[in-house]
Amino acid sequence: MENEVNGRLTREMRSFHALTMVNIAGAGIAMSMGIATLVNNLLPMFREQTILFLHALNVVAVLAGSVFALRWLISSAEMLDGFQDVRESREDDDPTALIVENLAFYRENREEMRRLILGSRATGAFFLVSAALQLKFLVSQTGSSLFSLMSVVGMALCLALGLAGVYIPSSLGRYTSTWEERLSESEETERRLGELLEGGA
Amino acid sequence: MGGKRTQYEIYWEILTYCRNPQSFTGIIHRCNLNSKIGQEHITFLESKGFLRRLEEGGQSLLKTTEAAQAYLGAFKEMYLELYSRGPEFKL
Repeated sequence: MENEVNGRLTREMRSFHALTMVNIAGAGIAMSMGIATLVNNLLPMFREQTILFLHALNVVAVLAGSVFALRWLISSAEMLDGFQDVRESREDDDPTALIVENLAFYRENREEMRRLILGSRATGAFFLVSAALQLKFLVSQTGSSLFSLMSVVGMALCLALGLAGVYIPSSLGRYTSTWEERLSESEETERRLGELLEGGA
Repeated sequence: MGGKRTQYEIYWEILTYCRNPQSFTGIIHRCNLNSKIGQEHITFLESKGFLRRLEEGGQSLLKTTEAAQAYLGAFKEMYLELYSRGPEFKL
């Protein structure tokens, strides 16, 4: 049984680690895209020395998206740091210590994970809307082929980030429901341990 | 060890760590406890006969007793069972 649990723990921890890395990559790309779009929309206004309504609207939307992306990035990095401690705590082949560590990690981070699910969903939705707007723009515009190519790349990046915003929350949701179930069952375990201690001495 | 742990998990950690005699400072450092909470847990475990004090090289150390084996065994069994029961998380 111990070997089976050890194997399962190793696989689960590897999966969660990969998920956190995807999260960080997604948040990082979202942040850099946000900054690039911000600069692109600010420059024309600086050149014209006036507030251009559409560009100003874009700046506000991108700033809002960037706040979500920054929060997403910081939360993911903090979670990765905490999870790294759990991974490094593995000293011998006793899986009990790792189960305790993983449970403690989940208890400490469950609220943050819920926020992360919401945050990455919001960021994903923002990029999906951006991709749709860029597609509409691509269909209607008659600019140079270089400009069209750049728009296609931009749209593809937005679409990828939008899809990441769908995939990450759904995977995190499965992770939280798996541990939520274990956590609710641990209440019964606690009751039994309490009884054992009461009967001891 | 860190994170949010239940008192039973902290007892298990202290008892597992004290299989080899350990100082009070070593225990609270290893189990990530402050001295007040650490003292409360150790006093409780001593009252249950799960820990006993011994002197080694002029130092007061704590060691897990045979009486704690039932708790340690039950804890391990219950946690392995708890973990094995649910579905596995996969990407």
